[in-house]
Amino acid sequence: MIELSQVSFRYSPHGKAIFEDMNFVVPDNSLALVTGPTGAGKSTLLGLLNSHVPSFTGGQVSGQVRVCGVDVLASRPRDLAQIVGVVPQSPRSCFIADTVETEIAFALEQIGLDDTSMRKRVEEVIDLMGLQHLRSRRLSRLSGGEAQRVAIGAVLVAHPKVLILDEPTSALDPVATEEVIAALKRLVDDLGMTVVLSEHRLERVSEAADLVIALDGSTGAPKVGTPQEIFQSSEIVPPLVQLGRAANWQPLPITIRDGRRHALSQLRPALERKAPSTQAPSRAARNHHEAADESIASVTKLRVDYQANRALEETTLVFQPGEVTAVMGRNGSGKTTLLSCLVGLIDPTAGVVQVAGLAPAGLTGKARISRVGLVPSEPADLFFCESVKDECDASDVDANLTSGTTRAVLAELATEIQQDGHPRDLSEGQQLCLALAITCAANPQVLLMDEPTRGLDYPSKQKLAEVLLRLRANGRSLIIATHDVEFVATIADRVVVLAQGDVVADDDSRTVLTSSPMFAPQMKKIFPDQDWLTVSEALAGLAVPA
Amino acid sequence: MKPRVNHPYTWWTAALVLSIGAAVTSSIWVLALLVMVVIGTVLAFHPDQDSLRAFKGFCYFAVIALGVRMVFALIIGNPFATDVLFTLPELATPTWLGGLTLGGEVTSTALTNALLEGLRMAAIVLAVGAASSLTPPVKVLSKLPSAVYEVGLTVLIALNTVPSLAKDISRTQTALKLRGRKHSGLRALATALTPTMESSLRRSMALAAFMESRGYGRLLGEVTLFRRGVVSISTLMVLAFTALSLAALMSAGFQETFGAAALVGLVTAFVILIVASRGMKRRTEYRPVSWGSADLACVALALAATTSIWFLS
Repeated sequence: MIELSQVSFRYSPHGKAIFEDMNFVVPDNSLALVTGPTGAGKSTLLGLLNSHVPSFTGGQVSGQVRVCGVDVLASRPRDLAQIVGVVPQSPRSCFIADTVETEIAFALEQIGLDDTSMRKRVEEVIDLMGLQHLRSRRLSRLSGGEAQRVAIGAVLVAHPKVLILDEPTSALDPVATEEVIAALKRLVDDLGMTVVLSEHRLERVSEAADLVIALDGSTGAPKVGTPQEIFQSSEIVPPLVQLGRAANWQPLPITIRDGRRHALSQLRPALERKAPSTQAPSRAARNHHEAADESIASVTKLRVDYQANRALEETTLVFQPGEVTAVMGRNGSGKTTLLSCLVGLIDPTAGVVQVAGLAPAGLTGKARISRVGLVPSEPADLFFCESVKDECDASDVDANLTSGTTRAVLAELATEIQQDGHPRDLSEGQQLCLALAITCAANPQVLLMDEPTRGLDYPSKQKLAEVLLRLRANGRSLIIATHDVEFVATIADRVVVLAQGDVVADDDSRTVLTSSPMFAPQMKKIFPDQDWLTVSEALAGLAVPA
Repeated sequence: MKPRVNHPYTWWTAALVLSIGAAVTSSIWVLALLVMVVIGTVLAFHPDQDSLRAFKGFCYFAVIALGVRMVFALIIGNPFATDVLFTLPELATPTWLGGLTLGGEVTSTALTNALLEGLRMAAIVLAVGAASSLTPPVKVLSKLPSAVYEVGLTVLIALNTVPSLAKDISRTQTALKLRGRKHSGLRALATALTPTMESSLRRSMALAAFMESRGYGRLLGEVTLFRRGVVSISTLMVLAFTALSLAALMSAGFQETFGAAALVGLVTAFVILIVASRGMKRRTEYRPVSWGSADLACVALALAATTSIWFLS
């Protein structure tokens, strides 16, 4: 059991309180989901549960945090290894040993078990997390989902009662996410553990949650309850719940199966009135009619080799102006490599890349940024100055623009950003807006984005979608590499799916998203016979006023 | 089934013993043979592709060492030898640079000497490289006394951050390119410094937090305050005496008594540290490897080779 009583926390003695007199209880053997808008203190809350906050972050804390009867704030993290396990957000940079097996054994060596018990426990964890085929693999050779499972195993082996994960799947593709969530569910179901995790993409985890801890950005106590209770009124809900609330479905559906049952029973008449819409000719058919010289960017027979590995193989794609293309695929399928080629960071091994009629790899300075821009997956990489104002001014100088242009673009994207604030202190959504403003100020004809929705809550994603649609209306070509199916459903015109460096699908977003179970958005799963991708489409189709 | 693993000390001891052989011999043929034996051993016993790649790095390093030594022999030469092979254009440096003459006559004695010294260096580099790719240093650490383990682990983690540091720098360079700025040169380096430092600091904190949350740093069982004090003080003494010994070695007027005293102090402090830290167990070992007959045979072969080199030279 996790008990917080009268917990207050602030980073500096006179600074703003993050939490004030917070009380709540997480019962044993539950999977608790911490939700809230970006910057609401989800990571801080998770850190308090194993005294990582304030041991590593500093700050002033009062009140009591008890996990299974142990006073956490009075202990050092190292003495809590057998009570609270913490899985880091990016496990790959936190590994110590060289192979999977020795990494898992590390915690046991520190606890001081004898060799026989260690062997037994390591074997148990290897079976539990499904790591048998990886046991002697080098840690540097693991994929993202595998690394996350090894990190969970490395913590689990000490037999903690509670497991804490801070956005464990934010960097993972849909398949790897399901692997990790399934492993976590098994821990709760079979071993009776308590798991506390935070996550932005609720559509991936809310089905598995017993309990939701909803922070609302204020300092007060979070709302704690079952998903049904919390999602009735929360601002941060998955698409399924949005639909359920708008269509007034009671009880509120949480799992896809609930949703489908509602869809079938209550709304059968409405569904029958609407025959499946006649499909527009698919892109593959349309492509024949389109003149190739309309294109703004293209790659032809592109091949990229990294030492012995082939990242892209014979890839040919043509991008039109005024079109949003989503590039999807597993981790390591070549998405980032494709973007890097298009922006000219990588010179391809073979093949031709053209952006606005030129090869981007040869461009430098203003010539490049006025043709093609990339917002990297860590937008903060682009920041070099001490304040937002300086950053905008530097951007004007880089692109040779009249002073104030970037600031005007930023003001259009996000009104509430403090001009004197440090760029790296901004919230993730604001950092993305600043990076986007810097990139867009030079007015590139092709805009590339790598995983733009990582760490964004639903309202921020909605805002981002509006911004991107405005850019599309201005005739830019947008190419977005992402794992976020629901986001793709909202904005993409076209989806390209890569697998092991090959293009395996390239068509209208509707055709691609509705034909693959892995990339299906929630609406498609609820209404398997319809082609609806977003909540608003479903509501329109059901003739429910939104 | 799992293949038998050598004791962590085996390859390292063998490498050390062979390095001594390489250091004492004055025959190019013996050195060439040693190099071939080392390369053959790695090819035969490497556990996976990654270790082979690591060894390749050492091979490049060895070739560079040999090459640099040869180039120096060509440029600086040996003024006392007379068996001239060919003559290079000469360049006299000014007296404030030591009045050295660069280029000039190249003698076969100079070349042979350079080849011998270069090969010796290459053989030692390869031997160490072979040991570290056959048994990663982290495995050797696990066998060392706990006081040494701590220091060693710190060094290893520091070394592990070097590749990620390089990754950070290239990320910043990418960002500079994306902003349309110059990505090379001193100014770009200065701009890149802050973000690189920041992300490596953040990563170190995450690593420290993950290690600690898995129990790193705790003591097993009861440890008396006295023992803890002895361990801390003797660790400090080891560091201090190491510094003093180095100072004694490097100072111009080498004082034998001072140097000897520092060395005796160092050894004493080290022995106290090891004895005291034995009762302060910090960890147990997963799947410990015991010393077997194969290990004995491997080290004995290396010893036999070095002994015969010693007596023949």
